[in-house]
Amino acid sequence: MRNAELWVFIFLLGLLGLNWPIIEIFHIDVIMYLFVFWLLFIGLVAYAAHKSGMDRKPGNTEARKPGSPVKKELTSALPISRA
Amino acid sequence: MFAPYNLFIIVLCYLLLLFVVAYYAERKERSGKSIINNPYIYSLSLAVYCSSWTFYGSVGKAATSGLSFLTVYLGPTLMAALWMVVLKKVVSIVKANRITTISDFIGSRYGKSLSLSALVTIVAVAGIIPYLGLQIKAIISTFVIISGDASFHQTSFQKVFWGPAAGLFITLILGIFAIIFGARRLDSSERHGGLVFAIAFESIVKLVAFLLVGIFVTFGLFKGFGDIFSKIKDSEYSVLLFLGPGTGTDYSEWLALLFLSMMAIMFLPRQFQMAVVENYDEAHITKAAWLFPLYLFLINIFVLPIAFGGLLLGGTANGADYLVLTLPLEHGAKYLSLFAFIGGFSAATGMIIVETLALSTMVMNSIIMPSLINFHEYPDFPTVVLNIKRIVILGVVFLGYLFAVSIGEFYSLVDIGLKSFEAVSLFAPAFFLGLYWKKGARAGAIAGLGAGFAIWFYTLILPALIKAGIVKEIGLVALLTGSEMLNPHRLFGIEGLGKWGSSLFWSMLFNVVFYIGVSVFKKQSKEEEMQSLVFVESYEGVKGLEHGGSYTAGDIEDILTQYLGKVEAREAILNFLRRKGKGWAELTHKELFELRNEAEAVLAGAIGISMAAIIFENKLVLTERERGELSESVKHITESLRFSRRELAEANRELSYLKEFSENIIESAPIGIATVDSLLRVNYWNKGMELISGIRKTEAFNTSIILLLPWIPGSILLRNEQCEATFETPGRLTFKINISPFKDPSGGYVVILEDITEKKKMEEQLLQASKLASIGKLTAGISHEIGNPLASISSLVQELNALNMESREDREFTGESLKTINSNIERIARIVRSLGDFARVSSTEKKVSNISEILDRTVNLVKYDKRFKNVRFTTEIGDIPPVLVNPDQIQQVFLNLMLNALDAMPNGGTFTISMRRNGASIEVIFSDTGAGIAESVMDRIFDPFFTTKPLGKGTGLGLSICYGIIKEHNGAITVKSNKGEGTTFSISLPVEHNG
Repeated sequence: MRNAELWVFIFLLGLLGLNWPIIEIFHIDVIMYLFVFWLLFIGLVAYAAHKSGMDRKPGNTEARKPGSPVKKELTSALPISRA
Repeated sequence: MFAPYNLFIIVLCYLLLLFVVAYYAERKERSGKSIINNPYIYSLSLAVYCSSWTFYGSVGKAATSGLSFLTVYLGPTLMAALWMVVLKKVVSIVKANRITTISDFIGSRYGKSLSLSALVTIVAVAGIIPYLGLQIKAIISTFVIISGDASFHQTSFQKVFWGPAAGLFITLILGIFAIIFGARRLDSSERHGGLVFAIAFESIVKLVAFLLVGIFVTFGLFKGFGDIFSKIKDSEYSVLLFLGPGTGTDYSEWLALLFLSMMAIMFLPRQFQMAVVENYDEAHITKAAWLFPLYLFLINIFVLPIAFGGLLLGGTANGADYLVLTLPLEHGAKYLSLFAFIGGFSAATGMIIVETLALSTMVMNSIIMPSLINFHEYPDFPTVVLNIKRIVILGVVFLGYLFAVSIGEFYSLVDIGLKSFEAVSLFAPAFFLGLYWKKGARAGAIAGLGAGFAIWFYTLILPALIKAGIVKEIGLVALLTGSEMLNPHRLFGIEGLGKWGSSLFWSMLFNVVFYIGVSVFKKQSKEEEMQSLVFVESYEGVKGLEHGGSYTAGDIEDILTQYLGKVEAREAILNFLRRKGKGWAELTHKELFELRNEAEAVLAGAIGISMAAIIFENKLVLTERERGELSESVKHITESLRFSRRELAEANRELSYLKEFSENIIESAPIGIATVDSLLRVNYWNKGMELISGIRKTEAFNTSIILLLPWIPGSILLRNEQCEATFETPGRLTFKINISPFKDPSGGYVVILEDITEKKKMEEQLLQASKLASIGKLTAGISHEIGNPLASISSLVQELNALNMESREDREFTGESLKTINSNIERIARIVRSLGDFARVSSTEKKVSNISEILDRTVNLVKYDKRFKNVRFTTEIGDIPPVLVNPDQIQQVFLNLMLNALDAMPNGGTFTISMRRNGASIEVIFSDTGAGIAESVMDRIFDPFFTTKPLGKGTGLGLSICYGIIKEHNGAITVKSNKGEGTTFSISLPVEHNG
């Protein structure tokens, strides 16, 4: 899904979730529903914004954690010849 | 309660603090250490959206209608998701065209139309003045509330004075501050970094103030959210907890309010100013898309608890607007209420200053400047313009004050605000359709906006004026408002849309219908066509359209001087000349035209894009022929763009396919492929790399490859050329790594890692097999060589058996025979040893060796071949130093070449081996006078499995192995030959040790 389409989709999702008939489904505690949906929507936008920023600069910023499974042999190898 | 004069001082101190904050930020920016240019300040500056309506009005609305207040904040939250598409496009257009207001933006889109720009300004001023009024109303009201008790001790005059007079005085101060913040000089960029920072600061103040009051009410006066909501549920106000029919807000009203607030966040002049004009970096929009909604969420958490808490504690809907202030005041937290007053004042102040600045710029650019254009030659014209702008600012602020004291008392804060929201919503069709529909025409935009404005005025403003007594409901007015079809509250007799829904529906409907209808039938002018390309296609090339003109750079500077002053005009021209590296009189026709466009953009920043276009059009007139050429160029561009778009779409599809295809190939490749940037951080890591290294893609991304694969010598990556290295792990796995730099100027490398363990094993096995094959070739000769001494030994042993050991001759013969037997055994042992030495599995280590000794050992082996006896063998060994080689492998090479030479001379010939030093290498030349190699196969003799020998006589691997061994030694092997004239093989090995 391309960038612009993704954002339009998110917008429509929000519009749907914040209107009738979806609100009516939660009419018993509509206040709780509205605030929870609101926060989740913000989270979704934050996540999508973060991902779209990552897609332009590939790679995440997570450094390799010490103790990650790396073949010891490879990291401790010594060069035997150079072409 | 607080004495009014104390409150004044507090207010003045707070405004001074804002000014100091703004000044500090501007100073930092000028010194190159900007604290404004970051997404957090940008996001906080957008919170100028939260005015006193948010601070006070939301609580009031919640207490009267329940949940509808939330739409004012949910709408912008939804709209923020579309900012990534729409706002980024708008910002880039605004930056490229130096647009400074929303009226300029809309006017510019439709052929730089001054009339449309002026209409937008009128709608904005008419729509926003009430909104300004409500801020001032809030300031006046809260000032009176918080100085409440103290007023009992005042005289009547003081009571009258401190109320509205305080409002007037504060209005004046705010106007002055708006001038200080935004009209100190005529700035062509209309950017106000200090103001942005001050707004961000006041956003924090109002948020903190509101949260503190919320915490006080929720946890201080009640026992938390649960307590408040359960009590409200059991009270007469329980209907406020719900939405839908029978509650304070039905769904059509909810949708209408949601739509209004979505439009407001885009089109309110202050929002356009902050979000678009003051934007430093489009990338900030990405963070603001969720940070700003988060701010809205936080500032609304306690709205319901405060509203409900106020109602439960005996408050009424009438005074609900100011519960934020009155609740702490009435419950012994007067300093908290003071802080809340400052928070509310902060919210109102920010809105007033920014909105006033934005409106005054619109009024100047679209209405005032066109009227003053004929006076541009007046001395000191720029100063006159600046002073007029300052007067306009004060005028706008005072209009708001007048609204507040005349009409404001009849409506709640929210009601007034929503009228303004609907006014700016009228810009939506011309704005959005103008961004995505090229055929949108100026006439359509004017018709649509005009129709929408008329409906808005009739359905919302006229009833307000009637209610305030400013317009009397008599005569024509009574006829219209009393009729079934034209009742403002039920236009055309349609009910059920709600108050806001009805007005919004009809104004939008008329707006859109007129816009599209007129645009479809009205032909666009050339200017409109050009501008539609700029806005819809983001096509910059239009500005590059050349046309003739007899003006000079000096003429352009004169025009700018008249409006901006000499200094700024000269600076604009010099900047351009510096970029081009040219002098005043050296500009080409095309560059002059570029200068003209740039000067127009600079002027647009100061006086509006429409005015700037008119001024330059008037001053630098096009001839008829030039107009015609320009028109043709525009037509051509439009056609080309249409065609290019189709091609682009197709190219895009193909590119996507190719991208996917190449990604699949790289991912499926059985070798490890990775790419790193110029800082050696991984930005691609394929599946093969994961399998080989055991490091996952997600672990590898953005990590230095030196950390991931520390055995790569850093020196390889510093070279800007391709290189290879082979290495072995302690677990006896062998890898080959190839590093190639990207040709791209941004740098980076492609790293290819291949597990060649199996390949190495096979090569060793092949070498061993080749050795054994060589030994096999020598078998006949070897068996003859061993047979001779064996025969001799056998014969002597027989003779010794027959001897009588008593005679001296027999004993002497025995001694001689034993010596001969011993020497023959030693000979056999030598042959067997040399065979054994040769046949053993080769070591892979290189060591410093004497090449001529290796050659000797090889000759000793080869001479066992019978054919060697028929060959005249000569050697010419020069003075050569020892070299670092694998002796077994070099011996194998020499043996292969010598046996091949013998194969080529079945009937004898001459075989010469010469060895000499040649600079930094040693040359070994094998030359025979055999059958030679045909030209047609010369290119293939080093290919594996290629042989000219009959089937079963050769595997075709000998020379291929030789080639591989010499290459591994960083050497070279070449061949010269002619059929029937013999062959010469030359080997060159580098000298690494100087003997």
